[in-house]
Amino acid sequence: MKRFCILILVYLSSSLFGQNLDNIYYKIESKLKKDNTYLNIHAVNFKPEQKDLAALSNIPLTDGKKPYNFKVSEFIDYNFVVLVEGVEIDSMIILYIQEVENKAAASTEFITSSTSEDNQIVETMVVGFKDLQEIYFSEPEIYDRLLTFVDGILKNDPQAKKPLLKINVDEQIKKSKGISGKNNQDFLNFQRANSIHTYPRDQKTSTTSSRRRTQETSSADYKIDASFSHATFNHKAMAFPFGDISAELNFGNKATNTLPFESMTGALGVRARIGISGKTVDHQNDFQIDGKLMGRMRLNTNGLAKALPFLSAEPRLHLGSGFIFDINLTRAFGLPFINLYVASGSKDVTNPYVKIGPADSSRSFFSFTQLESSMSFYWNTSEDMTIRFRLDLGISKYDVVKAVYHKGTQTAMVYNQLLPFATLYFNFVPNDEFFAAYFKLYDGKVNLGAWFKFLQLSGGHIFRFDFNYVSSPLFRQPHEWESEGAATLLQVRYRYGF
Amino acid sequence: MKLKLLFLIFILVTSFSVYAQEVEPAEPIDDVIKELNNIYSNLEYNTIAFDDLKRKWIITDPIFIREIFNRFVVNNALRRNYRKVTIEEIKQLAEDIYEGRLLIDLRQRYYDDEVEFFAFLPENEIDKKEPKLLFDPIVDPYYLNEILGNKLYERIKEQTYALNVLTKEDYDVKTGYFFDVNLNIMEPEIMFWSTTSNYRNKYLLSAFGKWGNDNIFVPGWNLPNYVFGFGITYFQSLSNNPRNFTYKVRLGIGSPSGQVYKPVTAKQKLYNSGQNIYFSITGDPLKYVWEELEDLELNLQGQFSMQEMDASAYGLKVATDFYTLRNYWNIEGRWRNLFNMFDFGNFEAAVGVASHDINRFRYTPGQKKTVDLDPKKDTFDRFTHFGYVDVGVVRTGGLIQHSINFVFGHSVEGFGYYGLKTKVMLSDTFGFDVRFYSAYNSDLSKFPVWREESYIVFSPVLRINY
Repeated sequence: MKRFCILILVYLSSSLFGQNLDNIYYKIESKLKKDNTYLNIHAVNFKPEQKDLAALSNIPLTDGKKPYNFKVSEFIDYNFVVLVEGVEIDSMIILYIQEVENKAAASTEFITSSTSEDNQIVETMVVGFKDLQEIYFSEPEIYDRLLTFVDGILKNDPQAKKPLLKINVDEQIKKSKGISGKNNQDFLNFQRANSIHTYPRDQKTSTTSSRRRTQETSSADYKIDASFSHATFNHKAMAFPFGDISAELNFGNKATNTLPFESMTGALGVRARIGISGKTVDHQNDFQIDGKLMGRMRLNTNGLAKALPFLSAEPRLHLGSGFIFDINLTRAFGLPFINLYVASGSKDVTNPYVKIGPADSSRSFFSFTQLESSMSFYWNTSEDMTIRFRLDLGISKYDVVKAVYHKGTQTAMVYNQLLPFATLYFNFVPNDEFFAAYFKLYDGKVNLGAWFKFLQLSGGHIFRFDFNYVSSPLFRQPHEWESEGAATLLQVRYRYGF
Repeated sequence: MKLKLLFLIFILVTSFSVYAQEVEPAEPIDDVIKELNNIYSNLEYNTIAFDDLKRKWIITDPIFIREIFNRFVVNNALRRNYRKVTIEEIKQLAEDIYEGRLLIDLRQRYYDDEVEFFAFLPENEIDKKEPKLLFDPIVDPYYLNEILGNKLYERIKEQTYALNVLTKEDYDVKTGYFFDVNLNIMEPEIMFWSTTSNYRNKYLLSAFGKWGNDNIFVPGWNLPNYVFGFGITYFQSLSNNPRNFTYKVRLGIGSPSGQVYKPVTAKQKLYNSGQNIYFSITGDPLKYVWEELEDLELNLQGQFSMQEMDASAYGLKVATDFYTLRNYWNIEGRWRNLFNMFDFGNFEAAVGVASHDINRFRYTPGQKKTVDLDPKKDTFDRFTHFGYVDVGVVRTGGLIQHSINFVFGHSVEGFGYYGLKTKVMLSDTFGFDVRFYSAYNSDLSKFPVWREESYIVFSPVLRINY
């Protein structure tokens, strides 16, 4: 009777234990069957030979199934699916054994040709997780034999272990902080999107089976960037391995808080980008000098500025004829990107286009020298570089000479201040350049600008809306040479070959 | 007798087993189960490093919760310590469900949108760091799918029901040493170059600006002098806290900044009367004498006028007597990281002495130079001395960084100022800097006519650091 009661106790506990065991077996087998992406397990493939059968015969199965015997066939091979590593797992665990039969190949053995569509691979789990674990617990010598067999395969060929993990963790690496390029990448990205001149595209690298070759993106014979306020031209013949040259016509000026045509000049000149490189050209890492040398002429655009419907500006400040020297330098000796702008020239006040005040005390304002120097800092919100920023911080200066035309001409310097400025640029580049904007604060005025691409035609024709705005002074009264209201310019910008 | 005893043992064991299910903590009931569960938990690609960043939410819709709970009951899938729960336990829980006191805690897998954690959670456990779950959690999306059925499981994934999202955003701020643009009208600093001379130190070269001086209680734009200069900061070993530098040396030139405000209570404007040089040396040199003093930061700074402006440069048109502050110096000892005030930051305290001179000049139209109205006053007599204490809390890292300091300063002339210096940054990128000082004993005859009874200066802050 005593034994009977003990038996009842053992039975009850084993029944409870069995329920839980079955549940965990079920969950694991279900997961192995259904989770096609996240399983961090491996398949060790092998094709048994006759000599292997001694070790692989009579594998006991659970749930009343007959023991499994491995088959030797040209069309059948096996996968030992294993868990190689894991937390608190000391040694490799065999999860299940899969029979892989190429049924199509078997049925067309004597047919001389077959297509890949005919291939019919049938995978069957022949020894399940529960079977193997029961062997492990109850007949460890058989389990050890199988494990030794798998170990042997891996020792002979470590590559026989194929991962079944389908998520590509390398492609989904996330970073919490954005990045700032340590070479010219950010500078080139910015200039390609915004500059009116051409810049080298990234080199695309393609790998063949045995050697690596590099090719540059093909481009049109010539490139044009034009809007109502500027035009640039570059021909293939003007491109050199170390850089390129292009021509520019521009009606705008820096450092004076004015829009194109508002400063009543036109400038024509050349721009050159030169990469200081060693034996091989490397745009990403070579020190780049990107400069313009232009001749500036006075032009009476006063009437034009008032007549054009897409330009709202009141020209008051004359910029003199002379030269413009505008240069951007990439990072040298670890310094930031540096920009310099100098414009200077003739101090002629004899023929103003705009006079202010009554005839007996009419006056005009001239700026003969403009200077600007800044450092550029670039950063991207992510590795994809979809959202890009640039911040220019620097100092700027322009002089203003007042000429009074009454009983001769009297001139006096009325303004000559060195002031800080900051410009924040934003670029949105989902796949290619789509939208950009900037915000500049200088001399109490806000400059805003934006462009977005609205049309791209085959053959490399791109059209952008381009908008520029200069506010009236925010924290001070307008100077006499400044218009009281804001100035705006809306135009279409055309690009070809970029 | 023996039989009765055995029967009694049987009853005790079985009842204990049931009792144990209710009260004992979740411990594996058997090594085999434990081993199998270990295999089960190792099948998936382990993303434990991202557990706190995975999408996490709590279902709060009571009817939806009933629906889900019912599927668990129907499929007999509720387990506690791997054991099935009894109908009595379920009945007990039903009351909580009727009252809406049961929530469902969920977490999404990191690399896809499957549910990797599902647990019934009593409402009163939600605020606990390690909440006591009602049943064993489901940690396998495919098993959860089987229990709930594909349709309900997909609805849970869609998250189109009443829920509270509790996904953590990562705001940990790490200092970068590639460039550091810190735009603040009163104290901008642009670190644009850095180098390392051994494997862990860092030299940083910066351009800086400085408007006003808080320690002589002429903050921001109240001092009509803006300093531009360059500084070098040395880190003996690289730190994530930008304040942990070894020393910082700054040298700059001060220029007139113009009057950007109209005096409110001051009877006279303060003028800048010439270009000056500014220097500042900050460091913790005493740590080389006594290691425990590594948090004691010493600072010496000063500004000295080198020349006197031409009279025409003041822009005055009529004869004017005015005040000008030409020189100041300040020495301070600041003990940082005195103690930690929980999540609020580290407490720090500073004491210092600061002095500034004040001069009375007269502008007369037509004269090339201004005239000193107190020519016989010797240099020392022109100075006003302040002693001050500054206590505050500084927090770096995390979502919000701040420094909040209370300042109290007393001058030898009997008046003084007390005030608050605060700077709050969000993710160390955007923020605001506000300083407020109010005078006491300002009705004394010695209270300077050029001083305001209270000062407030402020600036937005934008910091880009990589």
